[in-house]
Amino acid sequence: MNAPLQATRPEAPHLAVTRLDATWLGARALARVRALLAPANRALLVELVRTGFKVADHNTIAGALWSLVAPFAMLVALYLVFRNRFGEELTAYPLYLLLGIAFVNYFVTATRYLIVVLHANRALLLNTTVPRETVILAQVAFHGYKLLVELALCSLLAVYYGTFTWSGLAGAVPLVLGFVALVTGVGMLCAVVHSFARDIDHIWTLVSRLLLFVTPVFYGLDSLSPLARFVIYWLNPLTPFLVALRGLLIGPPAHPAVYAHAMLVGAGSLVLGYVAYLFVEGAALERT
Amino acid sequence: MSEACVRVAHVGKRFLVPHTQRTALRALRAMLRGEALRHELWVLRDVSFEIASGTCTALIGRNGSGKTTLLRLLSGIIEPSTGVLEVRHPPRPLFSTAVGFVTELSVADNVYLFGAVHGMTRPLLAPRHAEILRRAGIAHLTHAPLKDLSLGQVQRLALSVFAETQDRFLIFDEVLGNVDRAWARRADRFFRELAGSGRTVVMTSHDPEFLRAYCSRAIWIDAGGVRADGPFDDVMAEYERSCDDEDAVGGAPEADAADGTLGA
Repeated sequence: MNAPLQATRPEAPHLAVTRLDATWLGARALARVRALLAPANRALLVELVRTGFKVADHNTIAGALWSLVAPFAMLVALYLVFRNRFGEELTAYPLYLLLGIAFVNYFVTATRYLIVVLHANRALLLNTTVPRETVILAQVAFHGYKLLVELALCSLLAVYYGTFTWSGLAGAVPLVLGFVALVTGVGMLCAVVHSFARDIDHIWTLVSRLLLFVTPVFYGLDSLSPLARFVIYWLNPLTPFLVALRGLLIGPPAHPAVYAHAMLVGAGSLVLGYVAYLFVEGAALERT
Repeated sequence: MSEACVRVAHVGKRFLVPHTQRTALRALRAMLRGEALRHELWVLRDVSFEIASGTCTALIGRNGSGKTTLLRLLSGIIEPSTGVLEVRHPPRPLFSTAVGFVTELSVADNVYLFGAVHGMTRPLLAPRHAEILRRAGIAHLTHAPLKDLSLGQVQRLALSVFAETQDRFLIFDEVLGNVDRAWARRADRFFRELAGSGRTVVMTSHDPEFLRAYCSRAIWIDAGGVRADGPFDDVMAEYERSCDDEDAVGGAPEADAADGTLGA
């Protein structure tokens, strides 16, 4: 039986949209999610992630291990420099450091790639019917594996320090997913901005370098002045994730409000980033 | 007449072209001064036609006339700015035989990657893998990195993988540029089978003989609009006359459409 005629992008309006319309955005987002879940697109996502591994790590285990050298080198350097200053007041300091490094590294690396994702994949996105979100998710997933490996090592360190609990690990799972949502949302927002202001990746490189210092990676929030603590907790979206995760893997557990704060930041960033992306993706892609 | 597979009604496409190289500072300054950051460029205006299911249609026209933009609209890759565009089956376009490959990967891996980019899964391609490589004439290069292949070999591989698609609405944009004559004959068999398969095909090429072999109808796109639409030989004859006339008066007029942006 023949299918009925339908719009090439059923969720898309045929006239340019000039204002935010919740119904239109909702329908568009729903159609995209449905498309993403189609078997062919799931298979494409797997192929893209597989390709990322093969190209980045030369298709060898040694290649994958090499990519983990940088965070461990940073761990050693920070431990040697700061153990006397902060290491004595913070429990399981190497674990504390590794959690901070893993989160900041993932945020910086994944967003750096996501900023240019439309530009770098312009030929693919303008010459095939590949869903654009699949290309974005492939980047998020590909860089996510290093975060997962580092978090697995953090869990082993927690076992060594006797702070590991299964409930803590179970609580960490939604927190990590929330963090991935934060990275995806921020990345999409930056990708859209990059299409209109090409130098945004240089600005972002500068900002991301500062992140190591304005995130409690090697120091504790308690060692800061009240003003600095307020700024770093409320204005840096990474901080609630780190505070909550360290509470789960090192202890003592953070206040439930911190956990809720982190999840809200993750979900909010994803929604904000995706809405911005959906609203201007056509113009952004045409002008990349 | 069979039912329509594609319905294009008064479709227009407008691109917003930035005035200058974009930087955050320039964008901010222009916004503060209330200056326009971009200007409009209409690539297609009021384009209307229907394509019947199971037919093979050629889109012809000069560079910059808006053919590729129209094909991208038909594919759903970009959206029309005005008008209505409907298709009966999900389109499967092949715009470039180089897109969808990663040169560092082996030929074998690239079969699956290129297939996935064009909607074909690993379980579908795996049993056909050897035949795909044999048909492309590169069975002996299975494990070679794609970067070691010539442009023509990559193009043959792309067409050989794409030939496995089961989609019912196919779009081809200038896909036989670099293949040798022997392989072009093999591709000829593929396109002939395609033309008689009951699938709907839209294709562009600057080679009239290639299009004539498969297409019964042609749509001539000129300066972002439909200039002629009808039996292939009639429209092609008119198009060639127009080209000859322009040659006689000293070259083609400047295209109004997407020069330097997205048009073909």
